[in-house]
Amino acid sequence: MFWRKRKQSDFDDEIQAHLALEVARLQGEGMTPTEAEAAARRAFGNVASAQEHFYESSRWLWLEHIKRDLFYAVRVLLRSPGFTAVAVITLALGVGANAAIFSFVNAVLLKPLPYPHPEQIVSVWEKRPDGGSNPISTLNFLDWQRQNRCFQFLSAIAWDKVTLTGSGSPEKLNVHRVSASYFKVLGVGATLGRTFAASEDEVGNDREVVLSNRIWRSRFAGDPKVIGRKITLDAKNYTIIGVLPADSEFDRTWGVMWLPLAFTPANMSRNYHWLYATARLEPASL
Amino acid sequence: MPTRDEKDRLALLQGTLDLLILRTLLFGRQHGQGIARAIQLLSGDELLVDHGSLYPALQRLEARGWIRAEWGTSDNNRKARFYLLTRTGRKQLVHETGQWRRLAAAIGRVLGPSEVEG
Repeated sequence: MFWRKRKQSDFDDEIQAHLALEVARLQGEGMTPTEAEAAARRAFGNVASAQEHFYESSRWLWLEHIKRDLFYAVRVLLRSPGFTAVAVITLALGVGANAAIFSFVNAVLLKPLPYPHPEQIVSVWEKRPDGGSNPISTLNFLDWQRQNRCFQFLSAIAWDKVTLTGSGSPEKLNVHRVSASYFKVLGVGATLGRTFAASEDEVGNDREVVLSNRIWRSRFAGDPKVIGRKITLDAKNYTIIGVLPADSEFDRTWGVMWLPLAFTPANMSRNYHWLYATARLEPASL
Repeated sequence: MPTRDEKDRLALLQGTLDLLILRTLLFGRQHGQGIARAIQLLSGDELLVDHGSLYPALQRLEARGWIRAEWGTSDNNRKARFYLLTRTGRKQLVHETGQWRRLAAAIGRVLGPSEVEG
């Protein structure tokens, strides 16, 4: 049976009411007020013990016990600070490690990619005869790009470092060289200017660069007129054509600029496996 | 009414107080002091009700849902907590009364006809 907890003061009131009623009755029988008071108390017995009994039967006693147990635990822990420190550090490290692992698992495995239709985005590898996988050679990549029927876009990625010279001090920068369709695969546009158009990853058309928002702000002062400006990378002239969205994954990745990946005759080999590829599947292939 | 000397009175048997309380409340709502008084009167002043132990019993009966309580005003205009018999309490009273009568009759048969004091 669940009943609203009754307050101790309510119970005390009831006892007082009882004693008052009894005193009134005894006085009615002819006792003096003092005698009646004493007789009523005698008949009742021990008031404090009745109150104690009520208190112990109250349903909140367990809370009181937990409170006392907690204080006891704190006292005992304070008495052995060394043990306490070890226990607390162990717990803290355990909780910390769990939180870190969960953050990683959440970001990598649980959360969808921050792109439109993330389920269509895949990464593509070569499969070796022994079953393992490795990066893709140029000729294989070009064949796939031409012959496949399951990707809307297939783009290759290579990592590179270039030296920025010209305005200010020279700086060595990490860059991604990507196929023109790279941003179409991800479904991301530029916040300023544009990303690569088809055929801008061919030799002769490839002197264009897309900036991450981070480097646009740090190196180019967030200047909106930066589009169309010429910069010098590895002593070659490039034109800035776009700036990527702020606070996006492009600000957190390894490279700070995206350059077209144009294959030169020297790249045209089938046994040098150097390209990473990411692709967007045709919806029908899912 | 002259009050009898407490030493002459019978102490209640374990477990009978609950039954007597329920029975008293059959007449209508009553406060603790009134219940104690009623038991004393109905028993022909034979039973001694320890007023102190009455309240834990009331508490227990209330927790079981056999009685419920409300604050009200007594006949002589004093604030008091009144107890009422609930539907389940009424059933319990019928059940326990039957049990008690059987027990009393059985013990009576074992003890045989009443002896003449002399």
